[in-house]
Amino acid sequence: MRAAAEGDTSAFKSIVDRWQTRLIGFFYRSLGNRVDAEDLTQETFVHLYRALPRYESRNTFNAYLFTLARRRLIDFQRRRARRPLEFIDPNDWPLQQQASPENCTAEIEKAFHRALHDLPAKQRQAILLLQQQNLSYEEIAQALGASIASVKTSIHRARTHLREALKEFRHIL
Amino acid sequence: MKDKHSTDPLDATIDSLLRVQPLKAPDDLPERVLTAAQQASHEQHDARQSYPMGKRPLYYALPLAAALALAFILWPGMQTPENAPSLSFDEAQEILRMEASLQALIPLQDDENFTANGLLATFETATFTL
Repeated sequence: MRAAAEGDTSAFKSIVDRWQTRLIGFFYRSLGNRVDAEDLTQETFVHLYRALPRYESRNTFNAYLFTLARRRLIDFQRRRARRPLEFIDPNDWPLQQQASPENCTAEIEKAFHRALHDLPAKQRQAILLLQQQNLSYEEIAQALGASIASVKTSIHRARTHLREALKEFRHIL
Repeated sequence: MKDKHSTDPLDATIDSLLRVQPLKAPDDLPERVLTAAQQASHEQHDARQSYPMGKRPLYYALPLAAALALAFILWPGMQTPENAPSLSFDEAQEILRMEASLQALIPLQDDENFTANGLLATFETATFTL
């Protein structure tokens, strides 16, 4: 981290290598669009590159990186809100390149994606940071700028919503 | 939390769907990121070079505006513009007499017998004096 902050490009590249899949996964699950996910991942790393010299390790790097990621997401959603609505065909949602094959049908995946998309942003981000990114409650609270209690509530509500949305598939699980 | 739900198949499925990293990053992403980051950094540097500290328009604008405002307030000439109507000798004398008459009213405030009629009479006297 120190080497990257001092301008060592290979050190910075190794940070990108290490975190890119996680960031793309976070953005993809938040937006449902691969191109946007890649663009936001790139934007987040560019911001990180510029912010690294001022980075202080008061919080964990996890929390710091996902704070930057969340800000990019908020900016993106504001920009998108100013544009006319685009129709997204739910058939475009199936995964384009599976990193690891999962034993679940495309139908469940689609329903899951839709349910995740319907969640309020804070709940979706909180549950993704916990389950997908393995951040601790404290790190999530830092990244979202919220209290730990509020993070726990968001995660509980998100899970309840996802369970409700997927309950029709219970018989095939 | 993850363990608590893992007994239920629905929760286990949700956990598994949440945990999966759905996309692989493109192979050239680190290169693209680095190029974009360096380009952004150069652009920022160039912007600083084209407007070095002393040449930035806003660098002097605020202190200059403050100095102008202060000069405007403090300069005596600005308080009495040249085209303001000047008083004639008679008008100035009238104002001075009015002021003297009003000063004469001050002792009346301490007078216990001071009434509205007394005040009117005093005004009448002052008017006749003028």
